[in-house]
Amino acid sequence: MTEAGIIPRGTFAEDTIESIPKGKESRAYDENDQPNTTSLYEKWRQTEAPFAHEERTEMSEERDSEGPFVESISQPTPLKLGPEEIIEKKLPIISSFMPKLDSQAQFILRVHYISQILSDVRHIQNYCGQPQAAVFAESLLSEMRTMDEISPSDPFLEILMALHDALAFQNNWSKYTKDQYEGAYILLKKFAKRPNLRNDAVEKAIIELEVLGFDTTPFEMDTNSINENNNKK
Amino acid sequence: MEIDKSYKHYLDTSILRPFLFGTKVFKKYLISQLGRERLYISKFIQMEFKRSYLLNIISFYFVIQLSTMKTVDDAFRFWSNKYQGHQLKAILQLVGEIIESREIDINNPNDKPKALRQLGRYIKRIEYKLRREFKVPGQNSTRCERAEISLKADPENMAIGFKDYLNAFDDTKSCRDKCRVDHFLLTKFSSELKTYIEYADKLKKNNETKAFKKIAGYLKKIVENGENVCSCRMCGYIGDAIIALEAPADMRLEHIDRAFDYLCKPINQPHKRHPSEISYIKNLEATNCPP
Repeated sequence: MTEAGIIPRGTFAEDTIESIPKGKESRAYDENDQPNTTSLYEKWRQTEAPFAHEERTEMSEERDSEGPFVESISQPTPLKLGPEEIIEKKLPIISSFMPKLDSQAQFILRVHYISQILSDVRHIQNYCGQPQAAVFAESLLSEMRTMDEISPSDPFLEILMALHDALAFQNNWSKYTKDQYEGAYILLKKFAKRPNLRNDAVEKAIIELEVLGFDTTPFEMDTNSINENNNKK
Repeated sequence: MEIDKSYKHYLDTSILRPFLFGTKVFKKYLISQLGRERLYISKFIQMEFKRSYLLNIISFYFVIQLSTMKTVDDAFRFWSNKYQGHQLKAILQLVGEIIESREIDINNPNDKPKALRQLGRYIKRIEYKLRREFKVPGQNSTRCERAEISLKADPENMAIGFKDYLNAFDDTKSCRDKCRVDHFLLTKFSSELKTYIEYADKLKKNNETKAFKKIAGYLKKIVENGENVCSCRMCGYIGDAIIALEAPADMRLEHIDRAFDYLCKPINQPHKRHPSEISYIKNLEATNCPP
């Protein structure tokens, strides 16, 4: 905590995810999940390896045309895709054109975003019931949506967006308690660490959110549209 | 308000719906009455809920997905003009809220995949909650095969999972071949069926008794014609009777529909009729009581 009582953002980045799996020993991915023999990540790492080099070169048309692309609204030229390029360049995303990322690329993106998300959750928890919480609520919801745009097929997004819906609907983020945010923090941290999330784990996480009191299906059906003598036929 | 802890609560579909889709005010009322811990539903109720609500939401998912729908707004307009039923209209409002929470521009064609993703995840979440938040006591006594169909939708291609689910649900012939609703009605509860039919004959037809008398009419048809008239469609008509008959005697059947007053009484099934969501909210407004 600083003197002003504000925790610097991103403080929790280091204690969230220990490391990105490297090499055969730590690779916990199910290779069968990816039918392509050469993953996008490997291809991209071999040709570009943007985060293997500190010095980055500007993306240009001269680059190798192989590999996945993302289309930019303002820039018609196809750009080379790498998770860090998306993050650093803040490229506008058209999700319909987003290529499928392999599980390792998804995990890299998850690691990047979750640290900020967890930091925001912690801040909201600390400012629970105070107007300052709104600053971090906006940041949190926005980070969640951005992650959804960039890595939509990551199963972790199902958990994250369940929390998003619970918080976003009718500004419910302002109604949850410190303890509930603590629970959400622990839960997100726990499941974000699992590179290979299966359906039953996702299901379990969503039910855990419900047990914590987060209504992940808060949307309402119009009562005027429902027949009072509902005979369910 | 005190939660009634003397009973375990067995929820009819009419109570299950507001638990999952109700307004905040009505959900609060239900939780104050029933709590969160001792809530039970049967496999048959799961099936009724899926048939009445989940399937419509999935159908709307496919309407958005149609290549002829350039934007989500096109899908809304199409649905609104084409389908007139109460529940179908209600789906429109529900889906509107789901999509709005994600800040999706319904007029932007590029936001269509985002809307589909958001809706798809919501469908899966409702199904999880249905299976895991409410306990199921005992067996699937009618052996309803439709109730056993599970939704498996891969996040990368949810449409395939949803389509498989719809196809399996619509295969009523194969479902009926495996179910034992005829045994349930004509053997296990044959005397209760006769009681219902006799009871209905004694009642005068009015708004209170109308629904029950209609159910009793269908039960009479089953008793007279045997298993040949048993079908998934018929279960749609007599669903309340099945729910009342399979409700465990040590649980209280929680409902909104009036028919249960007459279905529970002759078989001594504990039950409680709650106000409908509309009348509860109207009462609150009339008494100027803040929700």
